[in-house]
Amino acid sequence: MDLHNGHWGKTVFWGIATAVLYALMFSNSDLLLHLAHTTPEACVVGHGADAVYFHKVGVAACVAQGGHIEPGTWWHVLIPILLAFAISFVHGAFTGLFWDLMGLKPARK
Amino acid sequence: MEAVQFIELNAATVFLLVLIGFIAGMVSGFIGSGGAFVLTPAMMSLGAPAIVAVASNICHKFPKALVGAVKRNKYGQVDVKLGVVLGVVAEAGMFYGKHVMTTIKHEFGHVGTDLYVSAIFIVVLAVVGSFVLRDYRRLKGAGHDTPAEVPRFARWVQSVEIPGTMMHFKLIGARVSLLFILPIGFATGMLAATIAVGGFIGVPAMIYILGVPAIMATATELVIAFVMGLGGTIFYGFEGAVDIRLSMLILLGSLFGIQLGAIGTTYVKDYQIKLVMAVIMLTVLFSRFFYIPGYLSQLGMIASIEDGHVTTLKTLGDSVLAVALILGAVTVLTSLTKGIAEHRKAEGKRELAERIAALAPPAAPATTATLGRILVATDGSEYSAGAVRTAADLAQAAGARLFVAGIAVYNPEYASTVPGLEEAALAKARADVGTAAAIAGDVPHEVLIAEAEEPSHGIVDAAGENHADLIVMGRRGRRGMARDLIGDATARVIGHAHCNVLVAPRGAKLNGGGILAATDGSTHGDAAIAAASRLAKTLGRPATVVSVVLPSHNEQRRLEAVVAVERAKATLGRDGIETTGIVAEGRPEQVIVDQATRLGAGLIVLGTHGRTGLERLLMGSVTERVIGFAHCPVLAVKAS
Repeated sequence: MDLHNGHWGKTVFWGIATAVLYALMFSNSDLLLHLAHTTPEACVVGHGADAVYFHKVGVAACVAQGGHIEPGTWWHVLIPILLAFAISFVHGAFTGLFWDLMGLKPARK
Repeated sequence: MEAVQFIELNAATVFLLVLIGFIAGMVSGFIGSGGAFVLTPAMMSLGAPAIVAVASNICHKFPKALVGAVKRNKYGQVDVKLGVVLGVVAEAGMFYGKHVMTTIKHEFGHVGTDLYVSAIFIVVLAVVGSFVLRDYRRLKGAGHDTPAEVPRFARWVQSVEIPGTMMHFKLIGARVSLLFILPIGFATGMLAATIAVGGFIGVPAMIYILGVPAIMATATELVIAFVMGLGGTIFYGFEGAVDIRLSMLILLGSLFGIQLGAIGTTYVKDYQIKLVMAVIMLTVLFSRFFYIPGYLSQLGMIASIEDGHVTTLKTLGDSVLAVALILGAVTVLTSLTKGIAEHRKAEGKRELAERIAALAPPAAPATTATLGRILVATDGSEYSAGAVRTAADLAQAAGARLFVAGIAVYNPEYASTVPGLEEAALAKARADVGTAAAIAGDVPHEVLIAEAEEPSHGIVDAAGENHADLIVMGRRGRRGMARDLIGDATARVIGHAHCNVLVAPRGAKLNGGGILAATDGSTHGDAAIAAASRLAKTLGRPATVVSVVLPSHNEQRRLEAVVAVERAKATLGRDGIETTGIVAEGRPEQVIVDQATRLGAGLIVLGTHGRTGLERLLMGSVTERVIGFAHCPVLAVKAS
């Protein structure tokens, strides 16, 4: 494959931006899971990474399991949406430049 | 009480998710849509509950759909209005679909939704997969991509008028009742909520029920996917089922794969894509069968199966799924590398042909006649009007003398016995010429009346007597019946005339478009190129040279076509004419007419064998069909 000289700088920039976003996501993955589970009302048993979540459970049943009820927070639903937009924009720009740099282009017809 | 489980991520699952995303993306980019149908079962195989798999799949899809929709809208392929209407209705379908899923979950637990999703998968993949397989057989049988036409059912749908429900859609070019659109949107949404691939219903429905062209249907589906995906993510988000880590890991591989797959499609034929699609769909379908006994046994719907057997069956199902994925990936990569290699070879061949063409003598001008005298024949009908306008435009541009000829057609044998026959014929010819003269307007012209038993004899004789370099005449508007394509008189004039013949369709005039010249490298082709060169120079237009190969042609013939185009380009280039070359595969008449339409050509030039009668049927059919179907004037050039 012939490497095209043009877009090295840009490709590296978007590549690093992509890596940073993914790193941020994984370093906060416990928080993200917590946010996802607590979008609806949830029964949380345990803490941190070991927490187990149950949905649509009565207070008594939850307390019996040694957990507590956490009320749902509607705006938690926006977190995955915003993340998905940001990552697909940055990562999409990177992959386009990447294949171009590798010399892979559609056939001329 | 059942916990909502997000799967444990370790190095192996991360790697697998990215890899699966990559392969699914590649398949998705290659077959247009629906790589997601491998993602949902694949995530389920890694241990994600069905609802989490569906939710995370939808979440990874919608931003991708938005990017795709914006891009394809730039190419004018998206009917935004249709997409939004369908998307909003699909949202409702999705809501209902999700309601069904959650009801099943509460009633039967995750096993219930697993069984439900698997069952829907099997039904949908079986139906759509066999449709795709049928399409593949049809396309392969035709040997080329047949031009799309509006399916019969869609024509009926477009013809139905239900007052108060009609909406106009730009890309369909018709009004369609909302009563047809609503069920399509609803079904698309329900399917998306269930298996994350609503497009399996949406795209075929748009094509076969609404009459949207295939390429626009897949583009418009992206709008639906976006509207629905966003809504779906919100719905499932409120259920706490969206695992953003899963979504983004799949997206990581998928974005690389999707672009690779899309590039791959440009190197293969449409039917090859359809085959890959059908094979993958049917294999995924097959894999689902292995899981169902386990689900049924857990739900107590059949006699209990030993755990060991359930695990074995599940492993078998997983293996079949893996085979489907690997099969897809291998096919895409093979066709990509093979396509690139062939493409490079073709490029090399083109360079070789350029070098051969540089050594070969140029296409020598076969006709040395200048464009000094133009004769236009008229019968006063609307079919002649276009010919007269074209001839006048041409005479003015070339500074040529223009003769407007009316033909008095009668049989002298009867004329002596039937009084007034000759006078009537002459009077009609004079009236015809008068009509034509009015169309020619300010362009200087001479009128003449020829008398003959047959129009073609009159035209050929008048051209001969007046030393015409070019005859211009009209064509009958009839289509369909090959024999009657261009009218008998026109065919006979082309057969018998000693000069070139320009045939103009009804309502024609010389527009501003370029000149399209066809050549097969023979002396007839050379004559066409010489004439095209002269016309391009006279009119100051660019030229395009096209050579057509049949699917059955061997490498030798294909190389000859490339050489013919390169030689012609060299000839035209020497005359200072801006020229491009095309070698295309298909039926010659169809390729020539299609290319002329695509390029907005003002004139088509092609050689004719100049035979008539019986031989005309055998030899001149391409010229005859091009003349019959072209939307612009066609010059039939005779090799002397």
